[in-house]
Amino acid sequence: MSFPSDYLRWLLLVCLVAGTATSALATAHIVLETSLAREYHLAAGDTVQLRLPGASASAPFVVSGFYTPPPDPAGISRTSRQAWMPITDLERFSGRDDRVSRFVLSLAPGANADSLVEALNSTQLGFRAYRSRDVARESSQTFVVISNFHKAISFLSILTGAAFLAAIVLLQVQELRRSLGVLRVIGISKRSIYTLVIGETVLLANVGAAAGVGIAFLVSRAVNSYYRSYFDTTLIFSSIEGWHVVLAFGIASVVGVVLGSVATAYLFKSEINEVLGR
Amino acid sequence: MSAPNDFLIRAESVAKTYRMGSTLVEAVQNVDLRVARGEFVSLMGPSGCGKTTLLNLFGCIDVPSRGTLHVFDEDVATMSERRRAELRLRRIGFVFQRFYLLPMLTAFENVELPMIEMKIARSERSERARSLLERVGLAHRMRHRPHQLSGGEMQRVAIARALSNQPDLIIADEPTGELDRKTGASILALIKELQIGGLTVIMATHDPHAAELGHRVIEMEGVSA
Amino acid sequence: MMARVAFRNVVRHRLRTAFTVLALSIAVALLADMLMLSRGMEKTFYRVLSSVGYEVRVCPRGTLPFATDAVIEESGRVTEALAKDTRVERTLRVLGTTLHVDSLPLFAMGVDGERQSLYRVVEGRDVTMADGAAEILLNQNAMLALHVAIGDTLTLQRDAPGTTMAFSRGLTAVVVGTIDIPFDLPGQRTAILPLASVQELRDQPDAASFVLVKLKGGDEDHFVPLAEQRDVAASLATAFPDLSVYAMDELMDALQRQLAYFKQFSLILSTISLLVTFLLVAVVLTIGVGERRGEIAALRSMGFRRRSIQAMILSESALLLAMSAVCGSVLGWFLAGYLDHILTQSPSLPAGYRFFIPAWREVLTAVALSGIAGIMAALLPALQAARIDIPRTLHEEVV
Repeated sequence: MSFPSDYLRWLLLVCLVAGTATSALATAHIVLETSLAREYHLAAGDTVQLRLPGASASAPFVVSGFYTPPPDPAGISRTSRQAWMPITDLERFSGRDDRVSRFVLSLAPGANADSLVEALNSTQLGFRAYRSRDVARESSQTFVVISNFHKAISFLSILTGAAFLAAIVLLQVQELRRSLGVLRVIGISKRSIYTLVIGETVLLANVGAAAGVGIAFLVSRAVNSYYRSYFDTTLIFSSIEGWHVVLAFGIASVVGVVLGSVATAYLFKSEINEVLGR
Repeated sequence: MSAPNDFLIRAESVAKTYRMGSTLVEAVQNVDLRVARGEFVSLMGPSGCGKTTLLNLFGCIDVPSRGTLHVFDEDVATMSERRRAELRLRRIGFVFQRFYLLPMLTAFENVELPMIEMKIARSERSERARSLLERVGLAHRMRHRPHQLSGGEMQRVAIARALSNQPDLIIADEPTGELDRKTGASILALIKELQIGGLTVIMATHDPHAAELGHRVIEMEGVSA
Repeated sequence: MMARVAFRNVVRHRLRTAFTVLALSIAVALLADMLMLSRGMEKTFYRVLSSVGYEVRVCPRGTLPFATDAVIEESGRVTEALAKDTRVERTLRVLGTTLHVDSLPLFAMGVDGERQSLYRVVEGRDVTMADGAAEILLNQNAMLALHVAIGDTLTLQRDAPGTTMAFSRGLTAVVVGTIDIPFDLPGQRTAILPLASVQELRDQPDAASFVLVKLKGGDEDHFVPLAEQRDVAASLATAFPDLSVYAMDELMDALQRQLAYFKQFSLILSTISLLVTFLLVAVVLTIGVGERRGEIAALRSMGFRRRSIQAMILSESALLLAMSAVCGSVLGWFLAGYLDHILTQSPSLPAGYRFFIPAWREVLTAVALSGIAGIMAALLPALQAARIDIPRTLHEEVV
């Protein structure tokens, strides 16, 4: 059984009228989510029939327009659609007078939101008031968790990259051990050799960082493109910002300096003769 | 007069050309040479005259560009790479200027190595390796790694390794090149001893004193540009 | 012996080998964890769903259980029709709502039916389902928050306390037991009442949030085959076009769309882990072959065959991979627990839900895949080593 992809919220059931208006008796208006226009080829002025769950009769509503709600991360997996109408129409239609899910308040400039929340909650009118930022924080908890998950994976990736770089630097240094040994024999200072190896390692690490940033940009675009299509949203799922780039090069440089220093120190532990292969 | 099959090596108008970038370099030109079984031949000449190239050809490491070369009565140019490897393993022992011992193996294990490739039984190869190291005077250094040995000792191990598969021919390329005079002399004495024992030896050297150890000294001139 | 030579080569440079094994181990661990993530979510979903003990769910059209406030208005009609279906063993109607005890909200479920497996009575007894019985079951969180014990009486209100209380429906109920519910969210306070009590409080006499259906042929631990479940679900959907009907796998598919991100994330990271393994082995061995050209040329000049040289390089790869497999398996096992701890902090997940379920099958699969990637990566360096130009290399080594 294939799973249908079209369904509205519990309050509204849409029975579609194919295209043409039968608006002679329809006086109530409704604004639909834009995606419905695409899916059902609706246009402003069309009439749709709405029916409550369990009811046999439906009521006509004229589509007065379409609206794209702002992208909401909490709603990306939402499969229901939204519609808007004057509250009096909804009350009349649903038979539930004077009942709302919530009030949303916009405050006058300079008004203190915290004191208002406190006052409302102390009035014992049977509801609770919250600041919008508190609601946002609560509803963002899932994304905080996902962010922490990503950070953990990122840390492991950095560790893998650093270990990879360390192995390669040690390989490079071993390969160059004869050359480095000759430099020491002819009097080149340890400091100069450190500078040489560290410089090379930092350069290698930063070239890798540059390639990584480039790949990250491409992957980020691909991720956004894919998930926007998958979830039918305009949300930004992945974003490479300036500080990410700075961090990438910063970590690469630090790792390069540390590994280059360690590798050279490791090499200097050997006697010159051994380094020269005698 | 030696019969044809008494000659381990028969070279007629042998030449070897290498490509270095866009230039063709003739490393060896018109070599006619025969080396009899049990003979000690020394190759002398300036650097770049083609001594190593010639040794590589005789040792079946490389194939001639022109001419005919028979080693153990087989035409090197028509031999497969696999057959040449087999000859190198079974019948030819190499001694290099730079020893080329595997640094992570002990002296004993380095000598065992070619025998393992020959799939000789463990007990036999252990016995043979021990015996060879005793022969070259390193019985007390069997478990040492190359970096724990002196230059002379390393070359002795290399000689023991070259003898491990009981070859008919030893090819030595500047075996004393990295050694001091005294140590080099002892190595040359060892090589001479091997030849007296019946092995055929072809040795490349700069040292006239070393060259005189051979039955024949072949002076090579560089190929003119 | 070539394996011994390979082993000696690998341990010759301990620090380098240690870093290589560290990087490979993390890659193996991440791959194992991503495989566990992919399978763990499915396993846990199925476990949570199956713990409820019903094969088919009937919901208001276009909704999932408790996803919205929508209800089936004439649920009695639905259960009557289901009772006549010979394939149905029993049904359970559930109506969810938020009730208040003083100022404390509780998530309450009204249930009916003779037998149920929606919840487990830990202490006390189950509520009697006869109409009018004023009994209540609470989970541990609710018992602690309300400071009540079995036998105490609670006054439940539909609405939050305030001046509207006078007009709000209320109910007095006796606590008869403590329950445990597998899909409770962490910290959630849950109550179970007879369905009729909740319907009365909501002023919705025949409503149900959804209906659970147990089919004949299975028992408490085993369900009827999926094909049969889907069959029944399809025929019920036809009989009730206003409702959505789900078999177990259909419900899982619908729920898993919400976790599609993690499945795809696990696929991407798995691929990257394999790529890292491949690159690391290829780079390390290629550079290693480069630094040992003289040794390899000497071996070839001694008569070692190309195949022996290739075997040596491949053995080195196998050794590195074997060491990484052991370290990576252990690391992956512990890492799974850590990552799972992070993800299960999510507020919208049932308390018993797990993203990562450590399983040897996934670890061994990761080891096998990494092994294949590593051996493939070693092929080119092995080939290069075997094809070294002996005379040229020997000459270059002297110069």
